[in-house]
Amino acid sequence: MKKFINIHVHNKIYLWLVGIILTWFIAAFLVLPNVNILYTTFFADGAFSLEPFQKLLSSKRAMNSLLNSFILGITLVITVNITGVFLVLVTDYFAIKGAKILRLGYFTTMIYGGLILVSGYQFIYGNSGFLTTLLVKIFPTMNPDWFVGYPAVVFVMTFACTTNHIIFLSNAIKSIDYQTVEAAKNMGASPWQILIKVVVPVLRPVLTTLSVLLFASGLGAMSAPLIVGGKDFQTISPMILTFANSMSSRDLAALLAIFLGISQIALLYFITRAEKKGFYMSVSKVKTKIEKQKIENKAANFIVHLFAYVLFAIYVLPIMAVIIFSFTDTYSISTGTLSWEHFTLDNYIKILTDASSYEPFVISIIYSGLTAIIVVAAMLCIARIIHKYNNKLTTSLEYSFHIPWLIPGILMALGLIITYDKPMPILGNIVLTGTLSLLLIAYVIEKIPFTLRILKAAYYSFDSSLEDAAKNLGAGSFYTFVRVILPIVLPTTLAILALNFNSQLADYDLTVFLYHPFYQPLGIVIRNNTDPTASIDAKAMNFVYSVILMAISAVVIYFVYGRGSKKKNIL
Amino acid sequence: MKVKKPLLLVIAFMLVASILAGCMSNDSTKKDTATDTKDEKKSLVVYSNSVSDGRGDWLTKKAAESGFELKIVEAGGGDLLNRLVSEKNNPLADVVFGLNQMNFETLKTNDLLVPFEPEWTAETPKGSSDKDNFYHPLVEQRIFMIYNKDVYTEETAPKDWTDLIENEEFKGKYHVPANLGGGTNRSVIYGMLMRHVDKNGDLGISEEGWKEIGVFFDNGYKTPEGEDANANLASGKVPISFTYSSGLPGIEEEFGFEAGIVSPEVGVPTTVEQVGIINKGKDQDTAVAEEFINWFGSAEVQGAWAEQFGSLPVNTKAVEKASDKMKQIGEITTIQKMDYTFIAEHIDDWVEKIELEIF
Amino acid sequence: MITFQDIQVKFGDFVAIQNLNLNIKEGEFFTFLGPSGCGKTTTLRTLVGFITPTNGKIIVDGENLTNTPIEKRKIGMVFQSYALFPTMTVYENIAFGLKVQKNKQEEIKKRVEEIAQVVDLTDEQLIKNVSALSGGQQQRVAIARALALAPKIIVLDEPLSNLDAKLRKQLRKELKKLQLEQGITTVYVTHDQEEALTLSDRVAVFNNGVVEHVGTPEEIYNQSKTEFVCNFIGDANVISQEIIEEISRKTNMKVDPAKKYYIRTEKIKTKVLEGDQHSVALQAKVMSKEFYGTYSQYKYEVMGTYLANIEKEDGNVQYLEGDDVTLFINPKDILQY
Repeated sequence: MKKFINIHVHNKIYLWLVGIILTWFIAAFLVLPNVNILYTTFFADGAFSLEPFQKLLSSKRAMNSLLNSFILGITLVITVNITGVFLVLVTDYFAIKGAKILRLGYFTTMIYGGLILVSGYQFIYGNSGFLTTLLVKIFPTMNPDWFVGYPAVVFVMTFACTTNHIIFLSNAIKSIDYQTVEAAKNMGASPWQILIKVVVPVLRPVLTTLSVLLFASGLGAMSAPLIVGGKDFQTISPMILTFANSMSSRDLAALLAIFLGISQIALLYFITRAEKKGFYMSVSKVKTKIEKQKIENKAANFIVHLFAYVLFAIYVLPIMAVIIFSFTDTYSISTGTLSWEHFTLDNYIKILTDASSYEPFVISIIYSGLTAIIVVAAMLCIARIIHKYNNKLTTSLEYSFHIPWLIPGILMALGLIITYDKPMPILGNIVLTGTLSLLLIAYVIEKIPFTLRILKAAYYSFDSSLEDAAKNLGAGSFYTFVRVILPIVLPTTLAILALNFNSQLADYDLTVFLYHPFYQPLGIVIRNNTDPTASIDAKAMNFVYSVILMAISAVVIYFVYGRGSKKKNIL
Repeated sequence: MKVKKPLLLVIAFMLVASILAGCMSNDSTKKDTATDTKDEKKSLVVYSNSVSDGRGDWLTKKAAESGFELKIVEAGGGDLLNRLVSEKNNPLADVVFGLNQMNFETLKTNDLLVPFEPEWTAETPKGSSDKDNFYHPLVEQRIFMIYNKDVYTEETAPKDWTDLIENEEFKGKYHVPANLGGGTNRSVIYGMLMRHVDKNGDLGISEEGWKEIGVFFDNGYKTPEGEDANANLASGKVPISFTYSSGLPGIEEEFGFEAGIVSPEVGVPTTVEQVGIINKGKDQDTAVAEEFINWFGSAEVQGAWAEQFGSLPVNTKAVEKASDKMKQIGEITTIQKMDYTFIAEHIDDWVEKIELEIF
Repeated sequence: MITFQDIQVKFGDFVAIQNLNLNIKEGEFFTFLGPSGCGKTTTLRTLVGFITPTNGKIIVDGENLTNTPIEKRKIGMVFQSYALFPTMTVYENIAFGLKVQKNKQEEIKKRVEEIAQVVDLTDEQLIKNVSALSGGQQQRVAIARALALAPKIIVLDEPLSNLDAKLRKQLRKELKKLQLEQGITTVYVTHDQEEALTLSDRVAVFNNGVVEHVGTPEEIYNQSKTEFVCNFIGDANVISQEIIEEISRKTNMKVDPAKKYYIRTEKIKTKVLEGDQHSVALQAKVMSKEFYGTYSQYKYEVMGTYLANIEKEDGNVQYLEGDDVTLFINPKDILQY
């Protein structure tokens, strides 16, 4: 009896402790800074002011940007879904010659994105890009600045945003019960009918979730509209960044950000609803593995092959351009020309030998590594608590951890600054600005929602009686967690660790406000190098940085996905 | 597989541990050296937006020869100001230079500066320093329009900013800034707006002034991110742009072309890069910072700096060291007379209005 | 050996177990039988320790285990889903509990091999990952894992429900054999009456959180204490008012109109056994016949109501639809509630 009390009281104390820490964390880092920034922007003079609303409403540019962001979101839902489904059908459903190589090409979006990706596209389609030069030779009357505005943004983003399709949809296709396809064939369905009536419906729940995410990325698009959007296709995210940078216009940034936030809440609601409806479970007990479908119709087969390879070229050319140009000097890069005399290894040698060149890498790798490890470790525990104790308290815990999704990164960064640029009792009077930890905290906060969702799903994906079984065999909670549960969620954990690591390596938006001036992360250096006043070699260095970044990301991805698909991984 | 998994974990943990250890030790060793050398060398953290194109490296080297160990943090003017204000309660910088008088005014109102009178004050024109000695002028930058001499001659080139607006011929041929965060870009804006001050107008500017700036942005080429305005200028794609005085030689050298300078009758905006000591709290010892400013602002150093990088020093004794190009700029262009207090009061609102209604 | 004393389990307002009192003897094969949601699994989980009762005590070997943590109770459990650890091999699964106890490597090996032999797992199977095994083999692993720690008690929660009929029958036999050999007190949860009747020494029939009847398989079948038990186990006819009154007239059997009367299908005969003086004859007409191989089930119309019985099949056609037959009911076979 005494033992029992001890154990239970210990348990209680431990839970209380965790509860207190979590409450403190949520209050200090998720609620207070965000409330603070909203308060200071809207109650600047102690009274609520409608002025920012009026300013925005009467601004044609702001209203147009809003509209454009919406249009972009909707367009992407359509274009990316079509492209994404086609890609996955090519790699996993149809028998396509060279599918393995095609898949590698389609995977390239996993290792590069943002500014680097868009500049890669510029090398092909921009006014001095390869394709443009070629076309101008053929059609001399053509405007070389054709790759600009809405079509250009949609084009770039359509191909850049298929990463999630490649990950999630191909898993969904692989889980199709092949017997359902055979049954449809047996009932006389044509390959097209099978595709539309049997295969696509199985993908629909995943497509719903992906569509929601797509809409969100369209709404929050930054790099593509900034570079290829031109004058006529501006969106809100760059505006938020501009206004956030100016102390007197932050109320506008906050207001625009709130708009994004509200859209995110709506999206979150749809995701949760879509998830509740649930993914179709295969009803059959004896599932057969899907077999690749040969397209019997010769014309159709040719067309599918053609499109598959055209897409491959679209995916691979920009990345090839980035890699090739990383071996050239500034002249080649700024003019877009290639010749042997401009090939050089100097930039690589400089990065590998010059401390000031490789330091940003080391700093970014340390920050990203720490962020990934901290956030995954913490969410592993928190998702576990949510999974184990399903009550009102844990539900509200889960919701509070979604706050970073509602507040754009820039605004959150500002919130952290204005809250912790002075001693605050909640942080033991430590001033965070000007310390190394500020950026780390922001990175961790930003990665919480996605990590939590994925890890929670991982915990829910296994049979809960496993835990009971382990306890029944005499294992304590900790032993059970380490020996039984952790190995099951480990593949997913490693995957999310890798994704988090990669995504934070070259971050700029959040970083620019928070980095320690003595330790410049890669994103800042890359961005500074694009500045017109930057030194001559800087632009060339950026390509070397980009290629090394891609290499690091590729290695990380390989570790998670490359070694056979035996492991169960919900990602 | 069975063996691999724990191995992988172990490797992962070792990696983390080593990274952590590396990070820590790196940090501590750096700090150690910093404190060790403090006694012999005078170390300072300097924030500046005016150290690009090798100026920072030169300064670090020169300062080291005089016994200063500098850690220079470089950022754009807007970012630098934001950063200084956000680090208010935990400042890392000892000295800041390069920001203009309006930015320094912001720093002053945020209680971020310590007053100090440098030895070389007497060598600067009277009244050019802040009257409470919070900041002092170093380098003057005139902001003026330039054009590609391969495309235009002195006759065909625009004579004033208003030409760009009125003359259809220049439509799409001149660069307009896409970002109004920096000092140079902003001075183009206020240089035009200040011709239309009207107490009854919106934000102190007459309707005509707003119309003009609207046309200016509509007809200009807004250089997108990732494109280089100077490259466009050199290639003739967008043959009219603007720059600050000490930026000109670098542009001409880098892109190998000759630029013509436009000098409107009203004159050109000018900004003066200032220097000041950051307020780090009560127990602050500003001796090293003061010594550095005395050294940096001296006729000798400013002269060398001007010689090396083609700037126009405020220090009257250093002016003669300025390059011919700078002297020429000083002669060609006249200073536009403007009420800078008025500008400082309104510039943020103007920029916001332009961002919202004109862009 | 195991005593449930006034056990009550509540989930919020819902009472899952109401005043449960049970005694399970040492070495006994004891089954909790009932439909889903009747409280049998809840009771089992209370015994193992996953659920703490809101009231009452669980006493094992004279020791009050009510609040003892699960891992200290030393009760082996086999889960409905087997709950085999998917990341481990068969060997690791079986050895799990032994490792937790920090046994020596050689001892663990010895014990695992010993147990593997008992449940018929080969050496090759031991090094396989559990997901590579068939359902029946996984079941054996689950049992082996529960037995590895040599528990005093083993509990099985619907262990055969995921297997096909034939395998179920085979494993049922093996399970019984195993239990007899090992002599472990076994608590078995099932909703399958056949399993309960064939395996158990005694059965507790659960309904709505209450134990309706505890007894040997024969007792609960032949002398079902409650109407629910009678209906749940085997097939029983409801005897209509008309028929029971007819029987009452012919035999002086006392009939209480408030009560309900039942008779099991196999107790209705079409021929009178020799020396049977008590059976009542009823005129009936064959309505339908279902052929089951070894027997057939017939449905008759009797006095405007229906009765069913089963007849052994010997290869000869006995009755056809529409045939008139005489049915015999012995009043002592009638169950009343």
